[in-house]
Amino acid sequence: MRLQQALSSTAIHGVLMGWTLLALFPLALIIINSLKTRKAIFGDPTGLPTGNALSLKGYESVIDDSDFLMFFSNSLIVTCVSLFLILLLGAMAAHALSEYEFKGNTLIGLYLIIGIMVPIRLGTVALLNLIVSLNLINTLTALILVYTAQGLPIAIFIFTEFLRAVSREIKDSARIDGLSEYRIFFEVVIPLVRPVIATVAVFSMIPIWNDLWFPLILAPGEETRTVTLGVQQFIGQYTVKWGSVLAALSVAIMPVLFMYIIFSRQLIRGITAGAVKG
Amino acid sequence: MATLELVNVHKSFGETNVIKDMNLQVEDGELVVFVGPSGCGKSTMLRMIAGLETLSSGQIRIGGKRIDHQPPANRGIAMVFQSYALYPHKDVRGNLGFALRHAKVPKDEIDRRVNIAADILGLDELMDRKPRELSGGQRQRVAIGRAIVREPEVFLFDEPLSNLDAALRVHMRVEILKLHQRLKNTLLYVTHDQVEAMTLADRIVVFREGIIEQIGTPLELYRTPENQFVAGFIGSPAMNFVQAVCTNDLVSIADVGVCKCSAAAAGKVTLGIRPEHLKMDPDGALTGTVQVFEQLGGESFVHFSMHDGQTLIAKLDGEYQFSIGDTCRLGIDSGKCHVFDEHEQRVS
Repeated sequence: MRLQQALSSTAIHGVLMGWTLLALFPLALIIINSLKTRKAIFGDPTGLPTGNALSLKGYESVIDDSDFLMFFSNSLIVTCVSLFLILLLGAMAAHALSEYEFKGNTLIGLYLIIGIMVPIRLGTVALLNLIVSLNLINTLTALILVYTAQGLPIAIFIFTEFLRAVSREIKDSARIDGLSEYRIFFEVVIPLVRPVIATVAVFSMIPIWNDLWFPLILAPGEETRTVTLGVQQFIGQYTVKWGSVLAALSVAIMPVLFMYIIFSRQLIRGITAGAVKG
Repeated sequence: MATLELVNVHKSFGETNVIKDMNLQVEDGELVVFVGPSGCGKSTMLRMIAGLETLSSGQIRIGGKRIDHQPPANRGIAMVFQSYALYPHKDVRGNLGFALRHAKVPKDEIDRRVNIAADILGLDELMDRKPRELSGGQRQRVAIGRAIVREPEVFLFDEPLSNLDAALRVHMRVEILKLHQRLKNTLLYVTHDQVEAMTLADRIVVFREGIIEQIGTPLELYRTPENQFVAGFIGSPAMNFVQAVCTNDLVSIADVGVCKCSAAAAGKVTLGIRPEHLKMDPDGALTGTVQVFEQLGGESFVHFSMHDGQTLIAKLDGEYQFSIGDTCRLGIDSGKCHVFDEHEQRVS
């Protein structure tokens, strides 16, 4: 019996570790190769950057030859502002849908959530026309608006489920204590769903940070380029500066990794919250 | 003066009438219990008094002043919920003082009231703990403390003991009674447990399907229930109801005269007799066969079936020993009979 348990535990750990290696392998490849000479990248792709292979030329080129800092800050601004709007508006919408009875509650809810099923890229041409007519082409605002619209449906969907589970009595208690509905939302309800906020934040952030499509179409200008677009400039028609590309990508990965590490505890709690009655 | 009046209160959710034309007068300092089965409207009524639900029509007055248009915080009420509803991210002191801090009460006044409440409820040792570090009974005391701190005119308790285990429930019931004797506030208490109603109440209001069936002191409801519903609801185990016939002022079961009834009730009637008013009697009027026998030590519950198929439960003091299938004769305390007509209304 104990042998069986030990074997199944080993098997489970084996599968999980194998999957982790598989997932982390491309990441590791990018980082170690970003620190190597071009020769070493092609000569020995999986080798470590030691001795002759070590070179920081990639990173130097990224800093000297391009406005990488600006691309990075553009991405950061777009992602952070979009995330803030998605979380704030998504949570507020979900709270309204789950807490208050009003005519059209179900219909509005469906309307807001149906965005999950409709790929936003189908509307690219219409979006481009709209952004042009609003004179927002080549602005970060255009990207922020589009990403907020993209992220709201799934955020509202996830929030609604968890906000419904917040006990009605605690909100009633706050009403009797004299809190306005806004204060109840921010001071009573939000602290109770912190793990969900972290989960939604991580899920929403990644497709925004990594996106190439909308920056290319809506904000390809020099001043508004994001990090994903910025990396493109090292990929030429005839030649690719691989060291720089990999260095840029390594730096671009960092914020997402960083966010994930901070939020991972909350994220795990959020994912498993529904599984255990507590 | 914290009197409470309900005047022609009516509440419907869409097509469904939940509260039907309710009128009630609660005196200052009274502990009134709303009792009734699930879905009867008692919690809805309490929530309307608290301001958490609107009225469809009618008025609610506290101290003579109409309050049904006021927001909950301005009504002079404080509510204790079934699930305690403590703020999980605040400690006990934070929970107790939250409403006062929000109302911008001066800090020393907050501290004074919080310390009084903590002292009354024995919370002094727990002030720095978060709710998740407290037991169910402790959390309930914090919830009560939060209500005391507001110094309301009327306390509203919504099934506060339902989440506690049986032993703790008995203990907390006594605590609430002592608290009421000490504070002397008007208190409205909602429960589906008739034992809590009987032990706590100055008066009980029995609800059924949005209507008040009867209002009275616990003993009034026990001795003279006005209809079969109230008779069957109050008392545990529930009153036995037996089909009987009333002729010439005498109620008979299976042609055996059992007790007197008024002339108004001629014909088929329902005889109500509480389990504790049945006794073993070799010359008793009723004959039954033992079906189930529950031995509790100090008392026994015996379930008898009569020859016409009807069952009776008898509560007998002391230790008895029965076997399934034994035949016994039961006597009825004739002064303790309740007779109901075909509309389930009391006739005598």
